Amino acid sequence: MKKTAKVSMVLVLLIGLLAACSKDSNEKKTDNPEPAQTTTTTDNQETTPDSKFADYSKGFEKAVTIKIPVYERAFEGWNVSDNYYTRWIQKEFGGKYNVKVDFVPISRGGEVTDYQQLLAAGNAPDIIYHYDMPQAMAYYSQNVMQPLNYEEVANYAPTYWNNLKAINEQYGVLDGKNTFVFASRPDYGNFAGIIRKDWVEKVGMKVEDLTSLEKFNEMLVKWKEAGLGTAGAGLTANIYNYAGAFRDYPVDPKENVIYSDIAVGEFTTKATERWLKNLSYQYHNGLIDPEFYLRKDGVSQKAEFVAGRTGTFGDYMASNMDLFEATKKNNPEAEFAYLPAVAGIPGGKDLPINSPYPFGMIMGINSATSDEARIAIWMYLEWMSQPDVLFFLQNGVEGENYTLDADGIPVKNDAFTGESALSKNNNKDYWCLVTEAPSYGSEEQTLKALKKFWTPPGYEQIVDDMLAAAAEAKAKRGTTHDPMFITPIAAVNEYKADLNNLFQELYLKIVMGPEDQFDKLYAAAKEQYLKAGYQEILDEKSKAYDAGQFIS
Amino acid sequence: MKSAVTATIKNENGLLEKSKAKKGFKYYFRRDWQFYSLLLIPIAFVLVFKYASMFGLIIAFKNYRIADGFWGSEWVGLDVFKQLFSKPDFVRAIRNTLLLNILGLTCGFIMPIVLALLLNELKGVVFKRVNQTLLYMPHFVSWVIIGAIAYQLLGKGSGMINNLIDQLGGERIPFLQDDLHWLFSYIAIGVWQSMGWGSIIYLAAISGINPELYEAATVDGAGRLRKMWNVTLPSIRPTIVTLLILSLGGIMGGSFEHVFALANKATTEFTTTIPVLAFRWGIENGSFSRATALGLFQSVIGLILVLIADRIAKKLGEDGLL
Repeated sequence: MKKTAKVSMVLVLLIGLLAACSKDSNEKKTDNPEPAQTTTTTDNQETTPDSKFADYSKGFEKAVTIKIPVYERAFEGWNVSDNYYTRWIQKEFGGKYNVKVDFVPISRGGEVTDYQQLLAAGNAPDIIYHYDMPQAMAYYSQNVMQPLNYEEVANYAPTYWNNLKAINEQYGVLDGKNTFVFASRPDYGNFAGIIRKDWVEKVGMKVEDLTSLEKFNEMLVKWKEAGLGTAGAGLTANIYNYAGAFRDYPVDPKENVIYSDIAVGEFTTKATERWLKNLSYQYHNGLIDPEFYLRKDGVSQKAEFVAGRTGTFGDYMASNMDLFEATKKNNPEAEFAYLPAVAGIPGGKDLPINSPYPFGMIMGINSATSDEARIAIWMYLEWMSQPDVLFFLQNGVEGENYTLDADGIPVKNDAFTGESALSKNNNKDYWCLVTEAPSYGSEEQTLKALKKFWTPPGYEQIVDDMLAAAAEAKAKRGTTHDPMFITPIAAVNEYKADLNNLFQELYLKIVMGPEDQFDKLYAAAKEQYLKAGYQEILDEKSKAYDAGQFIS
Repeated sequence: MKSAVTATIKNENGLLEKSKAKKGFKYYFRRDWQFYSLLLIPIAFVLVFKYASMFGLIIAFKNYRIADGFWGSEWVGLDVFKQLFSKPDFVRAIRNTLLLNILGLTCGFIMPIVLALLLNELKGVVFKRVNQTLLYMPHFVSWVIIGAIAYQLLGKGSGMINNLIDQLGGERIPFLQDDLHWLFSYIAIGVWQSMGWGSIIYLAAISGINPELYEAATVDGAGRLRKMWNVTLPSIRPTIVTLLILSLGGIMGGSFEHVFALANKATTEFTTTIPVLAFRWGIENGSFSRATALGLFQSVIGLILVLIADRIAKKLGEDGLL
């Protein structure tokens, strides 16, 4: 009697549980076929006679929810999923088409982890995006993206499609399947190396003297002797693009393709050895931040620069950036200059410069996304591609965030802190779905406008130098791109996290280990790294290279 | 316990309802259904979060891919385990997990008992309460915060304590930036974080000790330390044994956050542990099958350890758990 009662109670609970679960899975299952019908049958929606696509220009009959990812960069006082602009998007776009736009925060520093968790839990946003192709491809190879119909994109997002047709068709097709759509990447960058000019001059040098890595190190020695401070440095992890400056050119084409990988460090190459040697020298002679391995992100490196302990830092330029003011608060005598890239190149040699890829954000559609939600996303891209919408998202409210100058270029009011204040990077994490940089007509006009956005008052010289360097690089560069495989490399996905971890462990051991044991430590580490999966990656890449499955 | 129940029955129903111990479940359920319904919440919790989620363990035997789901993924037998055991990090993780947890258990298990004994001796009620509360507090602080504070205080380059040492003319100590120092700091911070909280249960057990025992000891001329050793400790021995058995189950697991928050990339000798590896494989790399297999392996070993400990405890004349 007792037992049966117990058992029956447990059963009741279990059945309740199972019912809840199966209800859920039923919902999921019907999710896909149902909207598919709405596109094939008319289902109260008018179809234009010459189109096989339902017409939603008057909005969806039943509210559609789309989940849009947005990078969470931990800007102070900024709620990425609920702010003036998300509400504006909901009102303007959502209200017009009966779409509920949910913003899903994705932490910028841990985006892959966030996505993995969200995907496994079935909560991932409808757009799965990443800035780098290898990771985008890794998502694709996990089967979490659905194949796309580019005709459908063109139908619901004609403006967007016209802007990006060529790029989507050239780079978006994997294994014969339309997989990605892209945002455009106008060729403007605003990342600048910054150096404490007052320190450089205090040791009797000029920034113009820094024409090679050797000269730079020379200066660091003087900084140290003068008790000024060190160069800023951080932990090398997750993104491996250090090798370029340390290679011998011309590079063997095959080696170039199989070793260049932003996600997996090319630990075993000659370039890496040189890079490590230099770091080891800098570390043991007290030329760089002695606790560089604790600086895992820009924020912690910035803190060292602001405190006046380090004299170099790299940051994205923006008129409202607080780097200079914050540093001056601690070090009133501080002066700043643009640190040319050549100061990081051994021998100051001329590096061949690759053309950047013409795309910014790489986006796939979640395989669990319904047809209606997918269409709503195309409509969202279309809406955002409208110049007035983009302009508003990038600049805010006229008279509050900015005023227009004689050329019709917005002049930002950085002091504005009202409700419609833009995020620290000018709301880019919302409009990055269609473009990486704003455009104001001609290139000249755009550059003029961008320069204003990038220039904190009083630091015009830094932006001028940065733009001059960019123009010079542009003039010199060839037609090649950074190499990229157009087929997923399974071994990369298999070993990436282990190798990423091992790379950090090994390179720190070598750099911080006794200098006279460098060769021994490095040889052992190389072997360990190859064994931990890197050899498999190289073999697979080599095969893919021989099969011609790459572009460069 | 039993006598208390029969006593209440007597009080409620008078002498007529003597010896009703043989009544069926139905009778008690009808009488106390409100209490039983309250029980549903914890039962549901355990079923959903402890049992239902075990269903996910099947992916340790499958080549799980998010898109194929639990059912759709292909069965691969023990392949995942074979792969797991061949990973060099696996052996290292087991060594570190055992090392950290055995050290942690040795220090972290004794300290709450000592603390409870000491707190019990305090006479001033206010002073005792304030101290108790202060000692609990770290338990409620997230490891991420503790990690950040630890580096602010103990960091070699600019940690406050090191700055102080430096100013007093000493050598800076790499509390968290040298493997052996790190190990010591890890254990010490762990003990600091958990001892206050851990002492609660012992304090409760101590408060249940029959005061007559103390009185008898006083009459026999026992001092404070004697009483502590001969009355308090033996009285809370069952509690100690129960908690020891329970904590042995965690010896293959341990806290992920504890290691993760205190680790840095240059001090990695002891930081690759099973939970850290499960995080790296499962969450960072998306190799859910392998991470699950690792978790399952860890749980099975944990279960075996608990069973062995329980057996030993029974052999030694204690009650045990099962």
